[in-house]
Parts: sequence; C-alpha cells; structure tokens
Amino acid sequence: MAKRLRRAVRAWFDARYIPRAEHRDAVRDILWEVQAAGRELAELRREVETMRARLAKPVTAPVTAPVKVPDPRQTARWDDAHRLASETASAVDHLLQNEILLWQAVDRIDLEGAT
Amino acid sequence: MRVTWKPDGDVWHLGFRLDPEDGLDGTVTDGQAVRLATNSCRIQLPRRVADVHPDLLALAAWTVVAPWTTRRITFDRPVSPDLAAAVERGWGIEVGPVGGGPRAGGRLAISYSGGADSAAVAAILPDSPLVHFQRVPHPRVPNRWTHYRSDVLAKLAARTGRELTITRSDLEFTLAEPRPGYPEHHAVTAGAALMADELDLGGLAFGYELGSRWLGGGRYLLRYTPDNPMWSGDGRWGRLFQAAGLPIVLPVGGVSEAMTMRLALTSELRPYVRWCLRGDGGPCGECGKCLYKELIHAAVERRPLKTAITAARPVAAKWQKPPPYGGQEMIEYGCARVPGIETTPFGVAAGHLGATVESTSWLDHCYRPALEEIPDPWRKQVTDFMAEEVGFMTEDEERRVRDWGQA
Repeated sequence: MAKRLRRAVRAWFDARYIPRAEHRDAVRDILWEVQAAGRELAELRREVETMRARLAKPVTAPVTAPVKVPDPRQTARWDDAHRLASETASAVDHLLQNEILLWQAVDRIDLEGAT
Repeated sequence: MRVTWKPDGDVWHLGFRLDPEDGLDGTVTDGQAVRLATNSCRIQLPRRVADVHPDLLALAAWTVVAPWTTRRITFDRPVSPDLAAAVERGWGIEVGPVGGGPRAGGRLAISYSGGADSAAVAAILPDSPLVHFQRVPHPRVPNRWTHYRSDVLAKLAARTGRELTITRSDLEFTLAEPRPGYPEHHAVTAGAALMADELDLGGLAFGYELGSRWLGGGRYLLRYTPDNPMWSGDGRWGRLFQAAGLPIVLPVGGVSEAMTMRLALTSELRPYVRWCLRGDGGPCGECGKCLYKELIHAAVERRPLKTAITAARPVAAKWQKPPPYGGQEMIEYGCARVPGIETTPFGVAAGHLGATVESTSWLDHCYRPALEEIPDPWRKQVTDFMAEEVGFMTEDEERRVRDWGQA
C-alpha cells in the first residue's frame, strides 16, 4: 500500500517537473544562442571600429567631374563675340546721342531760315 | 525743348528735340548729373484711351525731359495757365503754348512698386487702386540690365488681388548715365498720369517715408529737408502735380522705414512684398538693397541678421567707412536693435554710430507735420490709421526730426 502510494506520488511529481535530460537540452540550446549572439556582437563591434576609423581619416577632396578644358579656339571666339557686342552697344549709344545733336542742328537751321 | 506725343492704339510715343541752348548733360532735381541716351520713349497703357488732358501729357513729358531743359519747353498741345505757371515758377522755364482749362479728378491711386514702403501705403488705403510702372526694353537702346526683373515685380503686384493698372515703359532708357533709370524720380508716374482721366484720379500716393521726405533721403545726407523739392507739398514738383489735378500724397511721409516694414509685413500684402529688383523666385539676398532692408527687417523682428554677405564684399564696402551714410537714421535704428551686430557687415558702422534703443525710439512714431501735408480728402483716414497703428511723436521726438544732422 505504502509502496503503491509512493509510486503514485512520484508519478504525480514527475508529471509536474521537467526531466533532467530535458533540462540539459534546454541549457545547451540557450548556451548555443548566447554564443551566437556573442559572435554577432563581435561582428557589429568590428563594423563600428571600421566606421570609426573611416570617420577619423582626413576628408579627401570630393570626387568631381573631370574639368573639361574648353577649346582655346572656342574661348577666343566667345571673347571676340563679347568684345564685338560691347563695342557695338557702345557705338549705338554714340550714334543715338549724335542723332539727338543732329536733329538739334537741323532745327537750328530751320529756325535761322524762319527769322 | 520741344516735345511731341503720338498715340498709336494703346501705346503713346514721346519724342523730344533739344533747343539750341539744351545739351546732352543735365541735372536732376536732387542734384544728380545725368546724360541723355536717346530722344524717344513710349508708354504702353493697359488699353486704348479716348483722350488725355494736355496737362497730363505735359506732366508726363516733363518728368522725362526736365533735366535737359534749360530755357523753354514747347508742348504739342496748349496747357492750362496753372500748369504753365507751376513750371515757370518752379524751374524758371518758359512754357508754351498756353490755353485751355485745368483738369480735376476724384480718386486717389497708389504708385505701387511692390516694395515695403508702397505696400505699407496700400495697407493704409485698402480701397485705393494700384498703378504699377513696369520697365520694358527700349527698341533702340542696348539693354545691359537684363538682371533687372521688372516682370517678377509686375506679377507680384497682380497677385495682390487689388484693382491694378500696369503701365509699361522704356522711358528709363532715355538715361545713358549714370545708368538707365527715371530721368526724374517722378517719371514713375508717367503712365499713371496718362491713365488719370480714364481712372478718374485726383491724387497720387507714393511710398516715400520719413527719411526720403524729411531727413534728406539717400542723396542729401544728414539734413532736415522741410523744403524737399521733390516731395514737399509746396515744392516745385508738389505744385506741378497739384496744377495737373494730381496732388502728391505721402501717407507714410511721417514714419520711418522700420514702421513701413512692420506695416507691410503685418498686412495681407506680406506674401507679395519684394524690395529686391533682381531675385526671380525670391529676393536675391546678394545686393546692397537686400542687405540694407535685411537690417531693418531684423531690427523690426529683434532677431540676428540673416545674410551671407560679409564685410569684405563690395556691396558692404560703404558700411566699413565712417558715417555719414544715406538713410543713416535706419542704420542707427538697426544697429541699436539687431543682436550680435558687431559680427555683421554693419559692425564697423555700429561702432561709429553708438546708437541705442533710446536714441532711436523716435523712429517708432509718426511725425505729425507729415500728416498736415496730406490733402484734405485723405488726411483723416491716414491720421486715424497712424493713431491706431503707430502713435505720434512727442514734442521732443519731433525736435529730433528738425535737428537731424545738426548734432
């Protein structure tokens, strides 16, 4: 009777507690996960170190498009066009002013003719 | 000088011929020497107008040819005796032919450039129509000033939603030297004058403020100018406009540029205010005017200066020299109020001027004699506005105006 009772009680306890073998498996799994996390952390640390090193390096000149050197014959033509435009504009200025003075002279002749 | 107007649809062509004693070199009312470029210009009105009173045609022509007229002006239509008398008394110039009656009109229009000063006027007179002058190229004169964005200013004026008349003209190109511009400051009204009968105008309001009217403006430095020949009611131009039935009205003649800035930027017109003539999408932020107006703007908002312009830049050169400066009252006002002014292009000027908030607080109020100059029909409206929005100068503060440049 006592023996049967003891077995029943043990079975009842066993049903409620995890067996030792399972504990061992669980601990091994967790350990594996911790090791994997450790490896990932080490990897991230390495990345941070590389980035820090890159930032610490002096800034190199920004990459620019290769400067296209204009053809000197072309720039000479542009300069010439600019010179011609400026000189023409200035010549027109004088032409217009001379026109005013010319009309003034014409009117003076008319005036003298009338008197 | 002999002038001829020829209408052609909506365009009025002005031609002028020098008399034997006239020359290419002339002098503007403010003393600036100018040189004539060509003897024709045109004004395009928004529509064809039936007829224009001879006094208005004479007034518009005179704003263009006055600097070069030495003895006599001959108009192509007889002008009223009052207008002839105003020119004779103001300039000592003979006028002919004379005949016909004077003109009159009812409404007050605003000569609106789009800058803070004229926007302030538009805010004070919310029902007055705007007249905008837009520069267009002259068909005979090479345009070396293509960076001047008159088209942008005209578009902004249109966006205000106000009654607006845009007149387009190349009259600024009659000036060869110092550069294209109004032969006389009043030439900005040439288009408005031609439209005055059509719009029933009886007065023209301008954005000239306390500095321009009473403190000598940009060219007369540090001088109290009650007799300002350009803008005083009883000056030669004041009497001429009066004779043409278009008296000059200066609603902001009694307040400083700080006040016009505040009034403009707190009004509905704020999004359309533009004092820079160069910017496309916004003010250029690079020119001398942008720098000067930014000082006032920052002072009004009591904030540090926002500018990329340094003391080493040519546009800031004049502030590295000792005073006097044009518009010095506003430089003092700004230097006294902008935090960290020492590190800005105005640092040197601030050191020379030693202005304080107390020494410049008179510029926060309205100078009453300016209101007395406003013709009757509009004086009360402006006075009420000033009492409500600005406040008047004390006797001591008014003395600061009269003593300007004396201390």
